Amino acid sequence: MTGGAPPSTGELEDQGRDPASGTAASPSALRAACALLFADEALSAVRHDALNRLTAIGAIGYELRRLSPQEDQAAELHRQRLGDLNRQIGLMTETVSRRLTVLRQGPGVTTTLAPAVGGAVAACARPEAVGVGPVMDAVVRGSTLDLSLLLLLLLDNAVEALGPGGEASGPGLASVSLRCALAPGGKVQIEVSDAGPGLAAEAQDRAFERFFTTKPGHAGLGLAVGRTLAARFGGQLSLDSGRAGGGSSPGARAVLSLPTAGEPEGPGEEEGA
Amino acid sequence: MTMGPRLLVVEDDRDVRETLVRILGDAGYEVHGAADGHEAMAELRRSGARLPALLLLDLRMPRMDGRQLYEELARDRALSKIPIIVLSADGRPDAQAQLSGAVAVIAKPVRLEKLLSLVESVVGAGTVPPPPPR
Repeated sequence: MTGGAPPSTGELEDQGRDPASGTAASPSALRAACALLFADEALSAVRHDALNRLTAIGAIGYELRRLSPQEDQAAELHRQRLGDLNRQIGLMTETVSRRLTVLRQGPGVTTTLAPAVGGAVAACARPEAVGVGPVMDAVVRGSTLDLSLLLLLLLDNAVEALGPGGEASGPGLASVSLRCALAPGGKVQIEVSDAGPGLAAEAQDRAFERFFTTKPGHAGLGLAVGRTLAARFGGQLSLDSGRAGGGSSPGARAVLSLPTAGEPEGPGEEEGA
Repeated sequence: MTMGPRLLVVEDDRDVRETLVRILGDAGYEVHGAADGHEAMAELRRSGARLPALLLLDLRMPRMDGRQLYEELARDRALSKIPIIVLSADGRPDAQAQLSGAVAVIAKPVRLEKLLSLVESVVGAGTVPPPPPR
């Protein structure tokens, strides 16, 4: 890791590489990276809100400049105070933009699906409850670690939806399933569905909102992090709430749609620190 | 008074949205605000409303965010022609690269002089000239 600089996700991946498989991060490394990702998302929310406040303050300064008094002495004082305001905005911007970062983006790499799926299932709360369909030999633009983390978040959500005993909400229903399929437009679609009660319509509407949660004790960042990760792949993450929200299948279904890339590149290679 | 070109500000932060609507309105543009992508689509599809000449679009919003709205607009022949300026509070390269068809990406905190200059370059001046620089 570069001294003093935030780690990149590629560096985390290299550190957490499972010596047995040689490709996927171990479950403990995946959990540790997940914690960092949550911290990064929380700080990203702080940074986003702070930059909005600075925008509003800067706009007030702009309007004050337009309303500056005409008398020389008052005008000079007015100008000085506006200068002070601008300087404070600059300092705060520097702090917010450069120092509120836990993880930095590594350079572009690609990954196949299988190691990420395997790593996520192995690390999830109840691997035995997850049924995985065939995983095609598709390549997506992003790191194995990021894809593992994304799938782990979705699997953990699905397992939690099953309830305290982790059982399906109805007899004869599969608990959690992960299915991959090729989709039109050069995309691959990964669906994680559960046999839980689904989400109420209001919860589905706000599911990706940072700090929104229906589960006591949860930070409410999981799906926000998932959406951030999906965006790193140039993809999208959506949620079907299941019967509770008017859908046809019983439980919730998360759908990850990712554009495919060319041949996989070496994982964790960096062009510079 | 004849209003200038029509603008739509799509921004979930109320203070930022109302400030931009006010300042751009003072500059002579006809400005409407929307708090997220859903409100923006409702405004754009409102019958009888003329389409805006420019969209100012925040990326991170609840419900339908900036990227989802962008993709929704791209699916409509008329709406896809509206130029977009992205207002980004997210410095991550992946966030800014997502909307490669945008006219410009302005990082927050937004400098109003820069924004007004950019808006004028895209849609022309409002009906009220801005004050001279101090």
